[in-house]
Amino acid sequence: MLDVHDVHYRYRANGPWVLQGVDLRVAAGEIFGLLGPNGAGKTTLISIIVGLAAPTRGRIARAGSMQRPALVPQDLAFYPMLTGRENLAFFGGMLGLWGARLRRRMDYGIAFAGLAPAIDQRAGDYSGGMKRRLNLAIGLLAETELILLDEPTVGVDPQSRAFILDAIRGLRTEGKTVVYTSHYMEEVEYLCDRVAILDNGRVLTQGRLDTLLTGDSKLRLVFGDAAPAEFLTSLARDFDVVSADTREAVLRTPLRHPLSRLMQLCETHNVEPARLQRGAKNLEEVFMELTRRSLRD
Amino acid sequence: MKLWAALTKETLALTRDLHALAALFIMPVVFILIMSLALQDTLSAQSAHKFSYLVDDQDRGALARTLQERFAATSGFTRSTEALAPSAALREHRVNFVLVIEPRLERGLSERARKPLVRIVAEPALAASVLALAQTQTELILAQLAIERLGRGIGVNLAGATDRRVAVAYFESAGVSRPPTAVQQSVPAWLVFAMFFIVIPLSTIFIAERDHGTLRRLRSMGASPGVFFAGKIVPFFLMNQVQAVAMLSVGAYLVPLFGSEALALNGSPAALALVFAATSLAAIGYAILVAVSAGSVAQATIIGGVGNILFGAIGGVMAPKFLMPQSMQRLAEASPMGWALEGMLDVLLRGAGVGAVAGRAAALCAFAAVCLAIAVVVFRYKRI
Repeated sequence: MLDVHDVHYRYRANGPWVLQGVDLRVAAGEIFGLLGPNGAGKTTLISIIVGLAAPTRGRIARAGSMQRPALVPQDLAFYPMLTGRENLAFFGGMLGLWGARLRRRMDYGIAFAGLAPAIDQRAGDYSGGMKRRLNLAIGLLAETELILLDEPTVGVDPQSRAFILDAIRGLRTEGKTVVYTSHYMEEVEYLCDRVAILDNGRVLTQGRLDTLLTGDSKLRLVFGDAAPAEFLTSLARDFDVVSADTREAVLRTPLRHPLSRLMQLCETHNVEPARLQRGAKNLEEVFMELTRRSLRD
Repeated sequence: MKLWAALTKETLALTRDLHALAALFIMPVVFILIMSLALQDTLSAQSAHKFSYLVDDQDRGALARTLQERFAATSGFTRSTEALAPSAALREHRVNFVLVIEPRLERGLSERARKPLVRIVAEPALAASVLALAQTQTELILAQLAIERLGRGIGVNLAGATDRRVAVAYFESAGVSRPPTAVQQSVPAWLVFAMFFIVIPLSTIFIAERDHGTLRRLRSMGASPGVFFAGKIVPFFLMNQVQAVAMLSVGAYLVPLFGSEALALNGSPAALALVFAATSLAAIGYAILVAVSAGSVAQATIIGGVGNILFGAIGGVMAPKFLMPQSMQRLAEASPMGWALEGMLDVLLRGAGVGAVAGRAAALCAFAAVCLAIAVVVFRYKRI
């Protein structure tokens, strides 16, 4: 559906590179997460995919390339002095829709985003969550297969966020392909089939979400109570400890001693193992491993 | 269809901006009313301002009375009925000057008088030109009286020998005429100012579109800048025409209710429509240039507002052009508001037709074209 090949970009000649050799492949019908901190280059990449900027180097290929992707921008990009319906009619008109076709797409957007109760109120009077929904509905007016959602839940209350995320999941059942950018890893974990992690204009890793989260050769031991210092000393003596504190320890595998030795050590020091995980981590940890900093930095 | 959507959106956005509508309609109405009433004595041709004076007749003879009668018959001066002493009347600004007729006027007229026969004592603020006029009138009357007296001495009636033989009339044609009245000056002046004031709502809407990402979204939808800007030009053009009709109506119907004269259209309505259209295009071009150049609404408000005030001050909106010195009148030709104002005065005051105002209309359209061309360059350069 979408093939981003070796895309480089900088705003001015001799300026710093904002994107440096980005390669992405998004399959038809999947929700693809583009994860990265602020300034990673996500919005720039989205702008290039949607055709707002041309790559300095590299190329973008889209299946059905005559069809322009739909963009739901990060900003609340509509007119607060117009009603929700007037906004939809305007943007639909700018897409070249009119008559019954426009009404059909407006009805779809209103239903999709749950805007019906407030559709004839001025958008400026909407709550933050309703504004986000209108922003989403406008983006979905376009009759297109590829939809780019650029941080569509920024600044909304949990209820509206849950509504929006469910609605976006619903796009998959309609056969749409979605590229979803966010720095909320829980959203990406909830929505996406595959993800790419972008930082400083480079793709650090990409792949299936379950592979990224489990493709790890470490063992995590979470303690029920605070572990004593003697226990941690013994642990470091007998195992390759990646990190350890009073709450948890991460050990490199294969273990130098059998797992039973670990359990025995716990028993000796009265440490209750609350949870033992092999290779399980979340996206935040994946990101931290790759960049040595937090996603929200 | 895209253009229709853009037109509808811009019209709705503009008509729902109550602050903008107040600035575009209420502000010029208030200015027209205030300035028409404030300037009506100064600028009204029908009731030219007269300067008041008192007479301090220290001669009390027949010749002094004749002098007073003849001075009273001259235009431009009104004898005051103040009962105050001359010095008190001057001190309290009740009169502009006092005509002091010295004793022994008759004797002084028949001799080579070394001392003045009449003195004019004026308030300090009186313009030198007015004082010179009063002095000239007095000298003329004294000369008449001396000649008549001489004629009587040699048995010849010379009464009327020095009557004025110079006729004065205003040359009436487009571009050159008598000055406008207060309402003829105020209505077009503040209309032009208000038409250019669209820089504020237009730039505010545009900058909000840019800052809120709406422009980016529209570009992502494939909307062309041409459609986008056409969607702005047409509603603001129509708004300017509504302003023009409203302000002409204010001049014709509202201003007279406050005791000033009514605005009358002396020239061709088509010529007036042409000037309105060209003025509107110039105002929109300027507004779009400010909108794309400014980095924020605050910047646009300052640049647009100050620019308008400068254009207005130079172009004769704030102070009528004919009251300016020659150098400033030449400078007024550099202001598009000046071109627009003179174009409207040509029609309203000088009875001009389409041909007579075509040059000014072309200049305004050229100004609009230059502004739009620069705006396109800035728009592309800034990658808005």
